[in-house]
Amino acid sequence: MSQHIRNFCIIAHIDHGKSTLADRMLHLTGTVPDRDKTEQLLDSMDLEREKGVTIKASAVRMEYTASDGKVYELNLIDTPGHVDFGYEVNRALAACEGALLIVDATQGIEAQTLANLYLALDAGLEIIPVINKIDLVSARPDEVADEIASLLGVDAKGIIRVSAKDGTNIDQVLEQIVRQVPAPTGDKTKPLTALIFDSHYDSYKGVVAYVRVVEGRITATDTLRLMQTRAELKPIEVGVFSPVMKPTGILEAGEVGYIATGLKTVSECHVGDTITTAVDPVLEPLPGYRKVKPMVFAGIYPVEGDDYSNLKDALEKLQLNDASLVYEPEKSQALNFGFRCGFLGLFHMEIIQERLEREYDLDIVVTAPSVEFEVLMRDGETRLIDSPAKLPDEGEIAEIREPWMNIQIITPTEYYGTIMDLVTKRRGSFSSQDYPAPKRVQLSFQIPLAELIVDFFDELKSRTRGYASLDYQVSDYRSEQMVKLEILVDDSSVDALASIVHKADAYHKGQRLVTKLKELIPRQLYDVSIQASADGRVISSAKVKQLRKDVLAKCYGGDITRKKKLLEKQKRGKKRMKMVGNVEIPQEAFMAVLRLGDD
Amino acid sequence: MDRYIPAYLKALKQETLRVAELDDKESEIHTVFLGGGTPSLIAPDQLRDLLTSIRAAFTVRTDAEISMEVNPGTVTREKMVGYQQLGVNRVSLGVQSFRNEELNLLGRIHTVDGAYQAIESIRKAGITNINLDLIYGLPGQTTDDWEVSLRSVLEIRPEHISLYCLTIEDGTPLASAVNDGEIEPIDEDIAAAMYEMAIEQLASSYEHYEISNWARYGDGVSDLKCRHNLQYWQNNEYIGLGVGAHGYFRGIRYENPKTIPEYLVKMSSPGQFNVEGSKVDDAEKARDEMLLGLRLLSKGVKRDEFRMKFGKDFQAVFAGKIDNLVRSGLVTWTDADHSALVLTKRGMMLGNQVFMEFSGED
Ligand SMILES: Nc1nc2c(ncn2[C@@H]2O[C@H](COP(=O)(O)OP(=O)(O)OP(=O)(O)O)[C@@H](O)[C@H]2O)c(=O)[nH]1
Ligand SMILES: [Mg+2]
Repeated sequence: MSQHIRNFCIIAHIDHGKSTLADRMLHLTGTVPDRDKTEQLLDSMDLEREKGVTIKASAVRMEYTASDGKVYELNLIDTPGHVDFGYEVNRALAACEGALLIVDATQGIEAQTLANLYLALDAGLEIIPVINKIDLVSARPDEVADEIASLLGVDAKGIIRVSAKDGTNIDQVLEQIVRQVPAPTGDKTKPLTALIFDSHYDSYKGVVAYVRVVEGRITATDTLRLMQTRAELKPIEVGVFSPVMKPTGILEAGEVGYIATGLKTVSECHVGDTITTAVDPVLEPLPGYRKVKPMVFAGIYPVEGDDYSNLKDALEKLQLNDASLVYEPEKSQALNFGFRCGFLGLFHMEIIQERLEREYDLDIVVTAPSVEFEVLMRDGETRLIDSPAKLPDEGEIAEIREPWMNIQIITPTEYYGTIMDLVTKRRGSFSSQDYPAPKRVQLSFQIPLAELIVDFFDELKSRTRGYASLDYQVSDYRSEQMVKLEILVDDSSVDALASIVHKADAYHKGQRLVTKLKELIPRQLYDVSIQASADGRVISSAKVKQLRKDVLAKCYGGDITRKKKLLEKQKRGKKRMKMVGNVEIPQEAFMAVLRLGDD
Repeated sequence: MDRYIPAYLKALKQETLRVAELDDKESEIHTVFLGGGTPSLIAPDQLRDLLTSIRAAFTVRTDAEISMEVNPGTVTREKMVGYQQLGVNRVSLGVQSFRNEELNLLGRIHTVDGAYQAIESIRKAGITNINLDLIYGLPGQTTDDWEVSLRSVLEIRPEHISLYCLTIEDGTPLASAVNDGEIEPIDEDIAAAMYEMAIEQLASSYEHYEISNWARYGDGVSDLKCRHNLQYWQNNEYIGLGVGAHGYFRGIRYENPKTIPEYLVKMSSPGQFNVEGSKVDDAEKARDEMLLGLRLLSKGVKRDEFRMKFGKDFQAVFAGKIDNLVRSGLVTWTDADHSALVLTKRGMMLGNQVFMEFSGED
């Protein structure tokens, strides 16, 4: 029955052309008319289009008449390539039987090519390698084919070579999907089990769950049960993405589609949960997913206290689209009420910040990101501390343990030296090396996560002119000499500016932080003093001198309107700053720790 | 440019008539200001025409202040005599600096000698009320440099002085030189010191009556403050005529088309004529009253005048704002009765911090 269904995802390193290849397949199968010239159709968020990066996986159904004359239902899931979003890939994999592994013919195998490949192999998927961008003059398809062949143990000559840009050989990709990806197994007459692999929020239809039906069938009239939350619901709509939501009234074993649940809160509909029916429930849920663990934490506060509840609503809505975002209320002395949020990485954090500002029109302050430390107290208790403000008094602490990571960097061999230098500067140590392809080396290191989140990736890119790629996994927690670096503004400590740093770096970082803050904090009505202190010792201090002159002079021929506009602009700028005590601190200042640079 | 002048003047007359028709209050005009660009390019004959139409369209008081903005590079004795005979009784001369090096940097066509000659020609033509415009805070300028210009002005003893701090406007050659790192804008503290220096040095002979304007202490008979500028700061209406002109008329702040062709089209098109811009509602008008009025340093905003205009007390209208500003030392009451609010010396230096509170809605 489900013999004509193929469920597959597209995985690759960032920018290797997944979304563009998806476009070509949508066109070739007539799912979207060829005249629709929108590029990366599946990247529907404004932010995705603007940055040219997929943030969220998306599913779409296509109908394809293969060379055997039969019509197949192809369910495609496009995934993001950025390292922060590995969890999105992971979830997509569970809904598929096959994966297209795209490799850019000019770049070859990169860190997320490997990382995502291993995830797909772990999930037991059939892998179809595809070499993309063969239209480019700098393409080296033969070399890349050899790299892939030795990685996967396949014949280099058999690997499909395409250009997602001009459409060359896309038909071959579709043919191979039909031939190589196994049809889903599953029996539509059995009791229902369906996996929720993603969700988004729709203001009319409530939480829309993206599902893969494993056994049985879903119809719009069934009463459904969510096994984890035990919530029961009558779907508002059942359908498929083609590529917009199209109601079909039914989804059967092997199929991928959506259920508009009508649920208004995320807590009732977890990604990874199993759906069954109320009348004929199964007992065992599907394996689901490991809950993703946030890697970096930061405070998000409204600039205006009144916006607290709007911020709360916005985070709730965002979480519906992004299950990896976690948050809980926190109170800062300096910033008042806000939320401590956990992110998968800095890019993820930036995305959330931008979405809050743009999609929810909020003025927010984001504090410097921190990792989560394990703090062993003298009384034997172990506490998890994800915010410098919550670090207990030194006297109570027996030991601070810091998260360390294993990282792999794939790079042309010529950058070996500069990468070694970068990692050592960041307290990292070398573990091993490997040569996946001629002139390319894979270096493995261990490094504290805290060092990784502070513009490590940018620095790596700039040192290697963009040629190196990076992947990382949690390794372990190690006892380290960490201290709290406090910042005092006008003699009182500002909790939101504090950070936890290695003792050996405290002096240096404190000095640079003070210098940076002096640049960022504008002159005000009174002198403002800034100090850094650690271990009860002042490391560095500076003064932002009071404003001496700030007055618009000339009025050009009675142009009062222009004068007022300038004043209004100045006023808006002032409003966006956060009042801490009597001092106005601009949003960027809270992130200053990230912008110290290496020198 | 020159070939536009006749057509332009024609359109200007047209506009004058049409605006006057709209003026049902038949206001009395007590100041006329010919400014913006280089009005001194037009010949006295052409000016006669223009002033005649203004006088025909409106009631211009016999003692009206008729000012003309003059570029020192365009001055001749004959022209000045011609203007004077037409009733021009005040000249605002854009000397900008008494150092050739600075004039060069500002891209001015005149020299310091040229400025002196211009002043002499104006005086000899019988125009007794002269304003000199000066700019400070130039990139690379030192306080000593500035003092050279200040000293020169004090020697000349003009009736009125306007001092402006250079603002580097986007899109100007100076702005691109700054962006390219060729020129470093002046340090805020140095600019402040220059302003303070001017205040100090002018104090004995001039009244510092507005943030950037000084009037020579009168002989007891005439007040040398610029009546035209006072009109702006006192939040009164004014009619702007000509290309790019700004006006505040019938409760509307408006701006004329910015280019001559657009302006010509607008003024010659038949049909209903009206000033188009944004209507100032009462709340905005009250805010304007504060942010403009406070620029007048000794007068400030008077409680009773405010009440007359708006029917409410300003402390009620601006809730805690005034108290906050008083507390932060930027504004102060003139007396124990709190009858008027003025900027403090600090508030004068930091005017924007005060005006901002009254700009836009909260
Ligand atoms: N010349 C050429 N450019 C391509 C081809 N395929 C994709 N591109 C370009 O490569 C860039 C990245 O393409 P995307 O499709 O967004 O890549 P992606 O893998 O989906 O990227 P992420 O979702 O961010 O991981 C875009 O500028 C595409 O236009 C190709 O076959 N040839
Ligand atoms: Mg993409």
